[in-house]
Amino acid sequence: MATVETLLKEYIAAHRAGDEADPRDWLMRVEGRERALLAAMIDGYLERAPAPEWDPEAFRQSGLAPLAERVDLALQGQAGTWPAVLPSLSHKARLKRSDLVVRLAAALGVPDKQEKVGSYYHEMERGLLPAEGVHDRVLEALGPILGHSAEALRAAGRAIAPGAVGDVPGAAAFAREARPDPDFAAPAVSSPPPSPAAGEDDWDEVDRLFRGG
Amino acid sequence: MGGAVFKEKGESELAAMPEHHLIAYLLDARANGTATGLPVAILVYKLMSDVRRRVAMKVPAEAIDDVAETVLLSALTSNFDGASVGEFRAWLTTIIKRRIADYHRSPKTEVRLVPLPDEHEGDDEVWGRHASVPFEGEAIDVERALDQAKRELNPDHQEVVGLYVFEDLPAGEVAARVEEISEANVHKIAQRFRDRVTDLLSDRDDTST
Repeated sequence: MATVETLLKEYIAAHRAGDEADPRDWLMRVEGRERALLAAMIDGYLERAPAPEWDPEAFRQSGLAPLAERVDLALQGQAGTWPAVLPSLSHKARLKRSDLVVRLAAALGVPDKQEKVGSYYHEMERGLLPAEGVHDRVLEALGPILGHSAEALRAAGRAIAPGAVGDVPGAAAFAREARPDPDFAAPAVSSPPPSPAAGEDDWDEVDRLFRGG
Repeated sequence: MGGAVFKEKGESELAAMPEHHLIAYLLDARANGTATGLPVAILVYKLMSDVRRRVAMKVPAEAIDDVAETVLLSALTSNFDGASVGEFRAWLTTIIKRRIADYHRSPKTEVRLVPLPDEHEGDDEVWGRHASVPFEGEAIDVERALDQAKRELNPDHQEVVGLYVFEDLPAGEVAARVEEISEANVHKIAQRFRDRVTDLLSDRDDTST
């Protein structure tokens, strides 16, 4: 255990000094059970280690803003973790939004309504569209495109407990920063297209698919 | 915070909050329809680097970002109702372990789509069965030995081990922080803990051969 404790002390010193402190660099120096023991002890240290002080500039440079925005969209939206999950799945599938929309519209049997399907898909990604209103047919069409089951996508849409803005009577459907700070604002994932139902009197098949449940 | 009139806080107040208060504030803000962008950003910034380090020890490099992001997503979108930073950190550790287990159970599955198994709350056997790679098997033996050795200590001695062994604080500082523990006792408690871990690991070797 002596070697492990020596390496743990070195690791703690590096972490406290603000170095990168990638534990794998220390784990590589031992093998077998000692490696497992060192990993567990580093983990024990990191569980207790003080978190860094909030530093807006470091946050901006960290590349974490898109993640924070996705989490926030999920919290504020009405579609569970879709705002975090859907962009990630399409990215992994190496699908451009436009290609995904073409395939989704075709799979839904509305290839001539790509623009409207695209707008609704955008709302799904932003958490603006209540998940329970999205018909199973949409998820059954979307699942194979993204490489996952409709059931898994449905479950992701339900993942967050009540309390989001959409559950608060009178609250805006999608509140953003109440006190926006232009220096802090995270970059938007994408610019919002107009709401598909806005200004339309006719409720068509696409509306029924995405909003009719 | 629960039950009181919700008051929106500014950046400096949020930045000074301990993590469990930030999480509580986040829940209240959601329930009150108040913006959550800033507290989410602060929590992501404070937690992500060490979550990423912890995940990096247990999953392949290409999966680190996905698993770490899923941990954050799970932590910030779940209802945590603990009352201390220690409870929050222990809860975060549980999420980290489960998400790592989810990854090892099915590496090709999108880990973000796996719900947290609330029904297995506190069930180490579930976590244990899910981890099947060779390093994980050894890791689980070690973690269980460490957990058991810690559990066998009384709360004061657990704190001594936490501060002296896991935080590498000087024995004198540990003695000053824990009542009725001398510097000499700190050394003895830490050594007994190390010896117990070694014994437990030897026992596991004996039972596995």
